[in-house]
Amino acid sequence: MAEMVRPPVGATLAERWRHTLFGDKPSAIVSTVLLLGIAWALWQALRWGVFDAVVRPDAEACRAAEGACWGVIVEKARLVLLGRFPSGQQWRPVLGSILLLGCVGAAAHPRCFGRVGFVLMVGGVVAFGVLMAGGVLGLAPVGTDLWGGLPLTLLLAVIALLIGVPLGIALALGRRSKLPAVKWLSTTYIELVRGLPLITLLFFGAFVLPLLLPPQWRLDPMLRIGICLVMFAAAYLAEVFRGGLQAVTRGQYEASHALGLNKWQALTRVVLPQALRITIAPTASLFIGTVKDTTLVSIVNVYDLTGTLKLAMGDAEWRPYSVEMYVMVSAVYLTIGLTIASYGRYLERRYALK
Amino acid sequence: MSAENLLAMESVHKWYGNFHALDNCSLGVARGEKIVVCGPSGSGKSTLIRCINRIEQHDGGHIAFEGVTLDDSRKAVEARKGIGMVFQQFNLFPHLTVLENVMLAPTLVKRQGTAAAREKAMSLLARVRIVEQAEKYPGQLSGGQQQRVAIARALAMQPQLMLFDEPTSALDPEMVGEVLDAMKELARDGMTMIVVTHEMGFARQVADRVVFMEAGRILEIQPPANFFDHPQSERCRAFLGKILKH
Repeated sequence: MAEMVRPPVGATLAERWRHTLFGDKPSAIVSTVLLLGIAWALWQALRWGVFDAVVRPDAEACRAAEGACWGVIVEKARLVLLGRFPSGQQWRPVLGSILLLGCVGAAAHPRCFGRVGFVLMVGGVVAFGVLMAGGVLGLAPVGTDLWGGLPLTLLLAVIALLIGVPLGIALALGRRSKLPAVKWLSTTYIELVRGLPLITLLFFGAFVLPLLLPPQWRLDPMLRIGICLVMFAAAYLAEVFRGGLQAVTRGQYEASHALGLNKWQALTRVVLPQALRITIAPTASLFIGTVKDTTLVSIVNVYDLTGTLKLAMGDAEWRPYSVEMYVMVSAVYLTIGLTIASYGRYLERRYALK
Repeated sequence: MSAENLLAMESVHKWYGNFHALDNCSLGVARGEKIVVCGPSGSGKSTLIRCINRIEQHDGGHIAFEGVTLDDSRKAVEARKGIGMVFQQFNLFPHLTVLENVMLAPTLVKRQGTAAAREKAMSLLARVRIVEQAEKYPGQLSGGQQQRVAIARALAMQPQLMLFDEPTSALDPEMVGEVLDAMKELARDGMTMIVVTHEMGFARQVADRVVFMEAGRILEIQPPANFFDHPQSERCRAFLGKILKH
């Protein structure tokens, strides 16, 4: 064999594209059809969304135009994003959301993992609650029935995950427990909640629970909804974490034991750190799912981002432009989803077991 | 068996369901003594040393370490911290660096300060000649390097007794030497050791006594010279014949 002193030269990007898309006759035909289809769809979207679109919030002009009516967003953004919060007080949900997002963002930094992050998250939720509910610090009280829009969506998602994650870990450990009662209870809970549609759970929390409890126990409806979301998220997270726990080998427990670590130290310093690293990808998926699950609360008369969207469409003059409003709300969810997804990838890169 | 023995096992039994894994095993180990345990696979060698640090719990008989009966008592949990163990599969913590692996138990269990624990860990890593890898993760090291880290990690708890469960069986042949060298050095420094191994050269060179096990029973306890040259039982002769042939 001839001597080979250099590694083979890789193909350029253009060459590789030409090879993969038009390598032989069948793939060239398929590629051409698909590319034409994509081009056509793009052109239609551009025509609707840009060239023929009306940006002014002018219903007359919108009716005359062929394309999208982005004016509806300018007109309805405040209602969709902030809901029915009293108009003079709307700085409160805005400031509350910024604080909440700021705290969550800070807690998401690896340097804050652990106690600091937890305190930050709880602090964010409390600050948000105070700003929204009022009644203290000279803020006028605002009932939870007037909370709505993006701040509410953020609050519900953060609560569901903040309490759902530790509860999920506890359930996962419970299901693996050697104590039959603990194991049985955890398993029953997980399978029961996982087997029910979230809608059923929300209906139960919103309408049935108040009938069952004595009147003086009546929890705030927002609290009941929050509890339902937490319960639902915890059951799914528990199964993901259980998978992670199963992936930690027996040798890790044995090494911890041999070094004199007690059960709690072994769990918190050896087993859980590995189990959580293994489950970063499915956990991120569940986080995104939980954020989107909060949209179901609109069915039980809680005005989250999709609930306020329906409120906005109650206006007959702008009702024909619901697609544009859905585009806006979708963009918000997509932004949240992509943020969580890329954060998950970042964590995976940083914490992958080498 | 004298009262000064560091470790005393008397008539220890262990069952896995209907399988009699340890059958009436008695062994006394004096301070500073080096014991090599050998025997065919499935003979109970690993179970024997796993019962000593209670990874497995024996079903009958009595095990005492430094005069403390090993059971579920608080005193036994304390006493057990004087027993270090090295595993066949290393079992390093993959999410921690080499240095963190060695520092974890001293900071958590002995509540040493970080600075002191780090200094001690670095000196132990230097002792097993791996100090330059301190900031790497276990997955980035070769098997031999990982096993040397595992030895340093066990030593960090300042054990009185070190247990080795086939420490070289999972290694590529060219890495066996470096681990055995680290163990020989440890033996020279006077550590009490119980080593389950198939490395008969190590046994001949380092062991004070060799224990031969078969079917859960201790068949022979002999100094290596006697063991290799004048095995008493037929079983032992057959075993030695097989493993010394090649």
